[in-house]
Amino acid sequence: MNLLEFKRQLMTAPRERTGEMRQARAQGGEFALAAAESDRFESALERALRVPVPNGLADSIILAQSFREPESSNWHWPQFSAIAASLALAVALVTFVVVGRQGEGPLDMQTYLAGHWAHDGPQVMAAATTQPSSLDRIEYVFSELGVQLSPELMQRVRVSKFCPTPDGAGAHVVLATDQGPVTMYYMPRTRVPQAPTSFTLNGGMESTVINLERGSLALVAEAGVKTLELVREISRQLSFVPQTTI
Amino acid sequence: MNDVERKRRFDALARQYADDLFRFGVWLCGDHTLANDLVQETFLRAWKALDSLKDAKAAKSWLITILRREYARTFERKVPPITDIDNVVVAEELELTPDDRTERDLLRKAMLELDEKYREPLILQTVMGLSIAEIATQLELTESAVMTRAFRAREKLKDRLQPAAREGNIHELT
Repeated sequence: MNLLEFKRQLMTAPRERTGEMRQARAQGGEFALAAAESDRFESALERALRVPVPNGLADSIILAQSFREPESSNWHWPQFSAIAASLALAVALVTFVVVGRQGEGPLDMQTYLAGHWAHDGPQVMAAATTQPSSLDRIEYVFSELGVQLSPELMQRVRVSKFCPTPDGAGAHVVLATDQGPVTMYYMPRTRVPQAPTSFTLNGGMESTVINLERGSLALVAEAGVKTLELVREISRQLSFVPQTTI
Repeated sequence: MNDVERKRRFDALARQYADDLFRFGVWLCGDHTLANDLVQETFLRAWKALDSLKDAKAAKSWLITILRREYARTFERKVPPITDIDNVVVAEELELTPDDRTERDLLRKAMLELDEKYREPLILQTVMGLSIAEIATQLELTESAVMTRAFRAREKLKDRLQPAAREGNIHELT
């Protein structure tokens, strides 16, 4: 099976794992990337389609049927009342939890970075070797965000893509540095109250955030990388253009 | 089949398929309340026709057929509902990250905006777990037509996500 056919199959019937599909998945490289992207999309799709079901739906169907067919019914009013009470309690709990969570304030930077890294940090890092961004793409992403990179920094960028930040669109970037590959998040509209600030994320990754002339910059790297020095060095290679389109 | 066996069989069907049928109904008609009615009506009809279900393995397809027919009948009686995401989801658990929630909401909106001929094969595949061949039988289409529709449905959803990624609402696909 060639790559095109494999991608077509992933778009058509991703769950149908024939021998050929399994073989293709196992080939690695472009096949593995296509499979990973498809898996991520399918997970998101399944999550989106999994809408909440009314509490006790099956019970209510069975109960209703029992009342329609009294001759075969084993149900009695005390049991009905108990189920009704359980359903009411479940609905009340769900309402409490939903309403109770709505009043929370915006995410703090550590939560945002931890969530962002957990979401796709390692995958984007892996894409730096297998699927690097073109120079045009890198320029496009940053120009949309109103930023220019120095030629030296531009040469270090391996992947550049748009990503959500606490306040709108930003950039998720993988850079090759003397200390190894690092992940950089540029957040054009977000500033941290105290900067620089550093956190340890899940899995032992270290991060440092600084404020810029416009927005802020976060660096996520393996423990041992001098993230503060690095993020400051990178910030000196950014310049800001007056207009942004996003 | 005696009454006890009948009831046991019915209860098992309700417990196994009610939730998925409800979700299928929601994405078919775009309305939470109507989907609930559809599922209740589906099981009422299933109870009446239970003796005609000879093969237990065919139960899922059989129930889907009943629900789709009931849906078609509903549209003979009612004006189609406005497909608004608020009609689809009434209350939900909040264990997802904000980014994942945004992506989920965008996908839901995009699903509702998909033409029914693309949406239905996709939900039969994703929500009900039917194979291409089973969907073809259910929709009375060729397998090739189902494959084309499933492909286009995914393509359209992904196209809808790209601007959202550019605007920073979700993560761009690498």
